Amino acid sequence: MADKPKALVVDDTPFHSNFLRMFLTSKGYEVTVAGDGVEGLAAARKDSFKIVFSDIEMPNMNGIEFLRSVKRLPAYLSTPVIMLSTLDDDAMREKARSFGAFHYMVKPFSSAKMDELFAKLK
Amino acid sequence: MLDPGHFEDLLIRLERDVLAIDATGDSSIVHLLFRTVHNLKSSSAQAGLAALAGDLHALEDSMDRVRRGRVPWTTACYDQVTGVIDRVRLAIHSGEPETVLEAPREPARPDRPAPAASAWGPGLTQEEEAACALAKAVGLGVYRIEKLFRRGLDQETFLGLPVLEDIRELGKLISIRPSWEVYSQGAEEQVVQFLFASPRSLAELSEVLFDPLIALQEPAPAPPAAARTRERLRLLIIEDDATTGLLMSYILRQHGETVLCETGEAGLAALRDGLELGEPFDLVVLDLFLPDMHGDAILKEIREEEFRRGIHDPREHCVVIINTANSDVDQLMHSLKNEPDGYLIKPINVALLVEKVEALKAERIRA
Repeated sequence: MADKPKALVVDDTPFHSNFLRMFLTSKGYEVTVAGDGVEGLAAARKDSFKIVFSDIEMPNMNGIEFLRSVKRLPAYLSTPVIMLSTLDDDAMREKARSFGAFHYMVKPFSSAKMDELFAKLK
Repeated sequence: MLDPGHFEDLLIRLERDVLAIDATGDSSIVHLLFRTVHNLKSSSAQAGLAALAGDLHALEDSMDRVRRGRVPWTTACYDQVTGVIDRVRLAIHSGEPETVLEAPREPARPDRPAPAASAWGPGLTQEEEAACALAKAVGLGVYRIEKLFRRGLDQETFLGLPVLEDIRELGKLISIRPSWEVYSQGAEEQVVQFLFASPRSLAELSEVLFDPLIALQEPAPAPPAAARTRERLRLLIIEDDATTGLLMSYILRQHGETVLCETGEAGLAALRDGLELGEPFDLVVLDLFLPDMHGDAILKEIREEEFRRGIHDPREHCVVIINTANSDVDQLMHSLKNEPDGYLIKPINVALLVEKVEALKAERIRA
């Protein structure tokens, strides 16, 4: 059997990362959760992820800093990184896009939003 | 999705922090409050507690404005936080999120006096005060970033964080409070302040820096660009190997006035003379291993000399290219703490050097 594709979830709130973990597991991913950008970056360097989800408001290294750092790693140039935020804000959406985010998702998550994202990824 | 324990944890944290800020007057605690309110807001949205959304959004917005230094912490903030705590608790435990009561109003209390603070912030050392004053005197902006940290980062990670990389790129770091040593022994969650000087405006910095950024002093307006352009480039080679030095001179003198020095001391003297006479060098090609000094020490001295003389805009810096036989570029860049603008690996790649010089010419020399 082929290895499962790997997904990285960077979020400091277990409440949210659990939802993503459940959803992504149901989609056939092997999920790694990191509690902030520093842990996320370390995980990204160590392993090879097919898709990355990151919260924006986090301690130590925020989501935008994480996005910029991970996009500097050659292995992640074309990896979709999805930014998660409670803020439906055009300026922030544009900032995330300019730093290489594939998608900006406004919380709360729903299965419908996730399905829409996966349709876009195909 | 409703997990009362998770909400109760967040509410207890809010209560603890709102009492702490009220008791100590330490407004940096607002970063912890913001973080918790933010979590509460997203968790309640995820749990379907739509009736709380407006309240939590308003509270998050208020805390954001306080943490960004736009408004001070007042008793009204205290009342807003405690009111929201009551309403969230009621919604969670009653299981009827739609029932929202008016915030209980506590009588307004007089604000406690804030801790003694200078114009640059509370509790600064004399060195920090002096650095801020110097930055202001030479027309730089002075800024503070406040960022929430969890304990546990090792020193190398802490000092290599993107926020510090950004600050070094955009200006000059004055201090980190608390230092890593204090942070590593401190509370589980703490606010770290980064004080720095930069020639850029708050609006320019906000394009790049995402964390709460407080302008203590905006930079003086820059002189018109025309005043900065000159007739020709000035190029300096610091190289102890005679053959390499001659070859470099031959290449570079076709692009500007070229000076060759064989020691670090002579190179630094030439650089200082250039600055003194108002004819600074635009580019230095620097050998890393010189008989009297290491190239990194020279690079550091160049940057410090520029800073002392009020040259803070990277567009006016002397571009420093390291010339070395060491081909392990990653290791090299890592070991060079003072950030050169580029490197050449011996034997010299003439095309690369000329490309760099041509780019500089296009930028700095009048057509």
